[in-house]
Amino acid sequence: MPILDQWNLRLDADAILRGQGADPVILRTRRPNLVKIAEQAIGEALTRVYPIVLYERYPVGSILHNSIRLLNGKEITGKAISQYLSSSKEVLVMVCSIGAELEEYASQVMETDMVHGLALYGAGSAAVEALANAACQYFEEQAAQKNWQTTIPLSPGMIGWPIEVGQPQIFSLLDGEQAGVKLTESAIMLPMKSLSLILGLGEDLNQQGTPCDYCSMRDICKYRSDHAKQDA
Amino acid sequence: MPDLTAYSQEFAQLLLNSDVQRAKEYSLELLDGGISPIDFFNDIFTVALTEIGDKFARLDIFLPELMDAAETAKTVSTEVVQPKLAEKNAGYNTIRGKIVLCSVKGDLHDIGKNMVKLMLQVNGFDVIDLGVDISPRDTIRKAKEEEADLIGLSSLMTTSMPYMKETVELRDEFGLKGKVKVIVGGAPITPEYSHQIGADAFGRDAIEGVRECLRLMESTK
Repeated sequence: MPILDQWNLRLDADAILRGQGADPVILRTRRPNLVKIAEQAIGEALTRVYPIVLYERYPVGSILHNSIRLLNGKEITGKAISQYLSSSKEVLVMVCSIGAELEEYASQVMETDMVHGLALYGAGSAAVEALANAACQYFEEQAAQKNWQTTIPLSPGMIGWPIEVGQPQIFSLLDGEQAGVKLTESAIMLPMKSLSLILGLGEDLNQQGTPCDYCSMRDICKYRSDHAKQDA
Repeated sequence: MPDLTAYSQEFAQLLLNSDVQRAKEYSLELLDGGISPIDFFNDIFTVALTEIGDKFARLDIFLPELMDAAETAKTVSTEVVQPKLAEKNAGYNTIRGKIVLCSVKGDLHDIGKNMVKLMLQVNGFDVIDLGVDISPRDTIRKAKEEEADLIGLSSLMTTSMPYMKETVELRDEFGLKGKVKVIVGGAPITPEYSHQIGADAFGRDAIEGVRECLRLMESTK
């Protein structure tokens, strides 16, 4: 299975602060020391992330109620799947991970300094999010070369695709261990700073909506406004 | 006794500013100025933490600010308040309760649990942190061995939620119902789920978790 591991990730303090549930604009004025901690976390994080994307493409065979069946006979089920992927000719399944070193370091730091540890966790979340965004953009550009489009990325845990349903489906289509990612019995990916995604590929795809529409965190997520701006 | 409200407000501001040195100095000034360590602990330190918790609950401050304030409070407690209590009020117990805390079996997330741990510690709880991916049997065994008042269960995954139910059931089977109260929390947990599985309390976040633990301790008196 193809692996992409040459990624130049960029992080900024704002993304890290948002990853901790804070508004960067307010904190810059009110608590500059917390912004400094976030900035320090960037440097520490970037030396401890090993971005990798493992992926595979599968032709779609048929569309069923609430599911799609791939030509290899495997099914992907979920309301979000049928809604967003039903017009796709292929699906691209991927796992993005930044490795385990940063989260191990963050755990160690958290034992003695919760604030610093929290910033490092925020940096990890921002890094894997940045990796997934970069990967989606890469595949979108690849698709565009043959006048295809990509759907919005769907992840297990979104509304309409429960995590306990979606994660095993993705890992039945990808050998996650090639990217150093394992799935536990309770559907947690290890390293935890990993994201699994599926994209539909094809012509004239219905592009309505955003990933936020199907995210279970949509009412409280600090990233939502940013996605909305990008999508506008 | 003088009204200590103004002191608690000033102390809360020092915690929010994360000014560890000044917070320690201020505490010592008050303690050396005639306020007893017990009054300081109950009417200034604890009241200030409650005020900060209320600010977080009202979304007036963000999570990193809450954690930063809690870390500062922990330092003041360890380096100033507890030594003064030991010196002047030997035998006075500031421990409000003992809690066994963990992320349940199948769940490896620990950030939320660690936040709850810190907030419980600064609010006077003796916290025995078992870590993550802890089986119901290990949780109950430890609670029994430690004669804990409370068990705190965290779960961030719908897939690990059933182990909360199993832990509550095992507590009951061990005859600990009413003796060891169970509080649950985590992103997918709701008050309805908490009630359904027979837990004694539910905490939406670390602040509500502490409040509920204090309420449970009051109810056992």
